[in-house]
Amino acid sequence: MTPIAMASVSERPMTLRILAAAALLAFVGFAQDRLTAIRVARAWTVTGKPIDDAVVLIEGGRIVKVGAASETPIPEMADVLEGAGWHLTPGFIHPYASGFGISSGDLGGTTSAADRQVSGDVKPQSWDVIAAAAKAGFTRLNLLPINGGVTGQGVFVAPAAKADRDPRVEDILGAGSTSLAMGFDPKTSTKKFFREILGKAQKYRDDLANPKKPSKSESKPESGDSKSSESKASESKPSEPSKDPKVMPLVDVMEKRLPGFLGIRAPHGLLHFQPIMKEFPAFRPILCLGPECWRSVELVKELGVPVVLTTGSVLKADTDIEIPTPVRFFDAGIPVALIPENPAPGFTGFAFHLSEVVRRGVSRDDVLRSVTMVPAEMLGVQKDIGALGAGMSADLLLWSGDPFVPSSKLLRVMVRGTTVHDATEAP
Amino acid sequence: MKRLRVPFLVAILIGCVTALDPTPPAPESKPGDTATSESRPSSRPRRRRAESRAAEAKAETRPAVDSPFTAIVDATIWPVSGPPIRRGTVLVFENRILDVGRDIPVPEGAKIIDGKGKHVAPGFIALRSLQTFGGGFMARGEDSPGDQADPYNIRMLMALSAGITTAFEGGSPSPTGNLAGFIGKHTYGTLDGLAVKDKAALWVTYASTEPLRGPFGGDPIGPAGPSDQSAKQTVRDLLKRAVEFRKARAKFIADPAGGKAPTADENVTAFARALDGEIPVFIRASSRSELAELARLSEEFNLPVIVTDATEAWASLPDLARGRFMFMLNPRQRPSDGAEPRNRLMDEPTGWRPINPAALEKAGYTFAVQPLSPSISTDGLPGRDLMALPMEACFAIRGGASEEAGLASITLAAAKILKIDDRVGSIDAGKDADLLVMDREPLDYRSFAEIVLVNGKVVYEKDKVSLFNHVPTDRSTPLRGNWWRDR
Repeated sequence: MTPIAMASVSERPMTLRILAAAALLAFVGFAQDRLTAIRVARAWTVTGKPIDDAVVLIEGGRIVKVGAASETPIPEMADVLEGAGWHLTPGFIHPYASGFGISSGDLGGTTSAADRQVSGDVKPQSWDVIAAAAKAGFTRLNLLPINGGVTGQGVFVAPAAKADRDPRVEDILGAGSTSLAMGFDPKTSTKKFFREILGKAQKYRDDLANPKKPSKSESKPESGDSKSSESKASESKPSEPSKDPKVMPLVDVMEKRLPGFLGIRAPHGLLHFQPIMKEFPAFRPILCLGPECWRSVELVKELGVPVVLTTGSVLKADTDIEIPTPVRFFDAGIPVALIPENPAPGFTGFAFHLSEVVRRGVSRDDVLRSVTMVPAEMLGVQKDIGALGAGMSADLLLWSGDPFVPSSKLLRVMVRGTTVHDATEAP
Repeated sequence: MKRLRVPFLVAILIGCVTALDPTPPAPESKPGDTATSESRPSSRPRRRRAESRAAEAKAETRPAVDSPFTAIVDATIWPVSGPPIRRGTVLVFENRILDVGRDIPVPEGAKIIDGKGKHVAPGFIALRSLQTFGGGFMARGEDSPGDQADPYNIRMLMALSAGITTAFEGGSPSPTGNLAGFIGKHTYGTLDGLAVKDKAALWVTYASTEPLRGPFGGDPIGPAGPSDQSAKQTVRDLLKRAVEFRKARAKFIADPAGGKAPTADENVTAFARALDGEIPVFIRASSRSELAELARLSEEFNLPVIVTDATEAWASLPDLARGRFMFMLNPRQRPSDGAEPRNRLMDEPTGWRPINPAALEKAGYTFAVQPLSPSISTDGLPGRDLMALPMEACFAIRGGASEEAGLASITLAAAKILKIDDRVGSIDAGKDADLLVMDREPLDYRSFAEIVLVNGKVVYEKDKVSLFNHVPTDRSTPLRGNWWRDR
């Protein structure tokens, strides 16, 4: 990837800055274009088993090869990065980040801003916070306007090196948006709102599937097969139903073209939302739950959706009984993405909190997946990031030891082969 | 009773089919069982599990229910609607009571709760409650309380530990009438069957000249009442319009072709519904003069009224005889301060009137009791909030009310007041299976609810919830060692 190509995805008309960045990157850039070999005591591949005494070759911002040192000779021309006892993991992915200068939108929870794009909202000052997130190990963040109602579409950002301060808005889905943010707090009005807007989305899908009878009130049983309805639509283009921009993203969520994140703080919220999900079987968003939602494990399992959880545990009301909420979900076999308890920039100690989840009985592999591959799959970018494998983006975390041991330090954070945080550098 | 025979036979058939089901029932978890991984199948057996977590898992595991029947057998049953039944059986089919009495056949496969030495009472009803359906629970605009209920909140569990299965929350009086209040059940852990009625009562300020105050005097918790006749006139006007509305409606029903269906303001229709006897009307009246004034209103409009407070009702019986009343009172309440000059009889220094319920009972009135505070918490106010609801009934008995009326005052009488006695309040065939299995008689001050069923489901077990599980049933044995750790 050339520096120009990288800078061009920014939507800001800042030609001068782009040129300056390009000039700088021409200088810095060699580091990522050159073949680099990283030799570590253990590489956590995520997709496969961890490899002891491993070598990872990266070039042009991508991983070329991952393998045991005995089977992966280091080419002579390569720069070599190695240290005794070092571990290597893929960079962490935050699927549900709020803040970063993005306003949260409506507070009432009864309006749709589904068409809202927040890519333009990422301000230069938020960039410092994103850089701070890098220190906690995050190499990608899905920034969302998080609140009640339908609050808008998210944007994917990655930290960059100090020299490259322009926010890099990742163009994951072509339209610049990664996902749709929604939030539900149980009330008569919010229930009514979700029933109405999902009803509109469902009606669009029904009309598309049955173009000749648009006024038919009885809906066809849910097919869940988006391709068939799409092909039918293309046959009958003249009678295509009208597209409401406030509704269409929800259609996309139902058709599984756009990931949907639904925030529900309290477990009784899910009890109140469950009947709505029963009414709309195609609507199966990723649930972002509060720590009290350990009570909802069975319900979530029944719904068959992945969840986003914070690392924290809770005390059962009026007792000193600790409930490690994430552990309950891991035990039930539900795909879990773990995020820090506090919003940005309070990500400090995230790795330690992950180690606490390990201490409470979840395997290292599962915990690592929950911050890499699982969020990548949620966002549909698992082919590019979330694991160590040939051809994947070189988003890497270099640790001084086992990442789930509190004494280990995060030494270096790389995004696309470029170091964006180096703990050995003077601050 | 006869109508129930057919469903009963069907139910037995279902029971037999269920009993023939070849799959063995899942082993029930026992509270004393400390085994960890053996009793809980897991795809990841190698994981370490803290003991507290294993114990927690036990507490959350509900026994597998294969049969739709539950039977509480060999217990002393307090139906409230009739005399106690020794060594009786309550048979529950799904969420309803199917039959109650001695020698009731129990279908095979039914879930049996051994009631030997235990007492079974209908779930208690709190006529006033606060936040047992959740902390953020309030009606605002179109938002109905039932749509925000939190069946996981700790106050609901505490209310269940006190035996309260139904509660009435919300509603404050106004001269123009306030149609408000939510009746719900403490269906811990589920929303199914939680909501019973919303906007369940009409709250009216009429006789009051004092702002409503919290327990022990304190700051006003409600608006000041009308201090002049014009405000009282508002109530009378609304009632007059409601009477006209009912006449017009009756005329329309008799002759639908003769004109349009009558319409009226929301307040007027609410008062009309109250006159119909469809919803209860709650009006506060404490002193003799207030009660007398209310009696005149009730008589004039033939309006059934639930009188709250009614502190001096015991001395106002001749006046009260003119109206249609039921009472919601507190047998421990003293006359409110400084409402107006009282006669010598009222100004005795002790203040509280435990004979109030007894006097009302002897005059043939239905009364229900409520504690001084409608809240429930671990913060204290010992014996004066919902945690000690049965104690209020005991004080009524102490003042001379019968034990039957005492027990009814927190069950059937409260249900009658709320007009939900077709569903709850007593142990009768056809009613909701809201049942308490207690270790002693329901009104024994030592009693604990050991098992609580709401809508036929076990929602509380004393042994499994940390609130009272350290208190042994047989109190002659000492407390378990280190109970504060073990719980």
